[in-house]
Amino acid sequence: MVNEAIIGKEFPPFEFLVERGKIKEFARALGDKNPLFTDVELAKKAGFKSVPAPPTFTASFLHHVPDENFLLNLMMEMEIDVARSVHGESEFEYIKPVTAGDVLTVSMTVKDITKKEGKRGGVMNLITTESTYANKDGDVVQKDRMLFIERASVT
Amino acid sequence: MAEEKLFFEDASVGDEAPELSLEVTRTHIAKYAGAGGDFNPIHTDEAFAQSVGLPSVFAMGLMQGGYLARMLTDWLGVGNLKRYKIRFTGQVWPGETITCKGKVTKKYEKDGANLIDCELAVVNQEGASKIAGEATAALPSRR
Repeated sequence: MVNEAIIGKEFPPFEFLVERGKIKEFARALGDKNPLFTDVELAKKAGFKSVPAPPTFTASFLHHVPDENFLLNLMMEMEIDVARSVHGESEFEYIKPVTAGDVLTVSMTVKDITKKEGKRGGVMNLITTESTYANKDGDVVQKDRMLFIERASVT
Repeated sequence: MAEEKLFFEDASVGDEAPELSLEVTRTHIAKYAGAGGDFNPIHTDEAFAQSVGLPSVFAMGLMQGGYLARMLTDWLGVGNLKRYKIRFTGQVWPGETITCKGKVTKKYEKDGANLIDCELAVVNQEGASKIAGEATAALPSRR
């Protein structure tokens, strides 16, 4: 069961290099043939510094760095029962474009934990985390929020 | 600093996005695992998925969330999204055909930006909900 004392906790920030090849791979995995994601010259003509990242690209950061099990370890640190938990929602707030070559500092906090009556009885925990992405100039370029639902234990 | 696809003057409340459909295969899931980095075996290892009582592997929510975002950038242009929110309402299984949909619900100006709000959905071939979502985009003007 999630430890509510963890509300407001800030996890150690980490850096992430937005790689051009990774953007191409991500776009291709979603069948996206838009040349803006692969053609630097075209991207520059459209006003981007380099090829832009697709809208949900930053979600991959949490899996690739700083550790393959980052998300799992995070859930365990929050004492979330992983077997009873699902990723319920994702929200992305776009402030400035994320483009290849950016080195972003990712800071993640536990924003909120609320309780809700489950449909099958018992109480569910709704855990919201927020990740803030800042570039080398210190500008926040994007914020992502994720909601994890920890279902009631059936006892 | 964005791709010009849909202009604010041409958008109206009730306008619908060109739909994006695909039949989901295990290959789609494997490709997204590689690109997105989510190697939870319930998504990629059929034997593991069945060992924990699932009928088969199923897609990561952010995979269909990625296809829905692709529908949005195809429609509105890359770099115009301000907010994208998705709620995962059902698992997507291999063999299902998913369709990504969007519709303009509000058109307004705020702080000098030309904004539209959209409601979004991913459904399967029977119309069962997989994602319910919403987005806000700032559109370029012809002026």
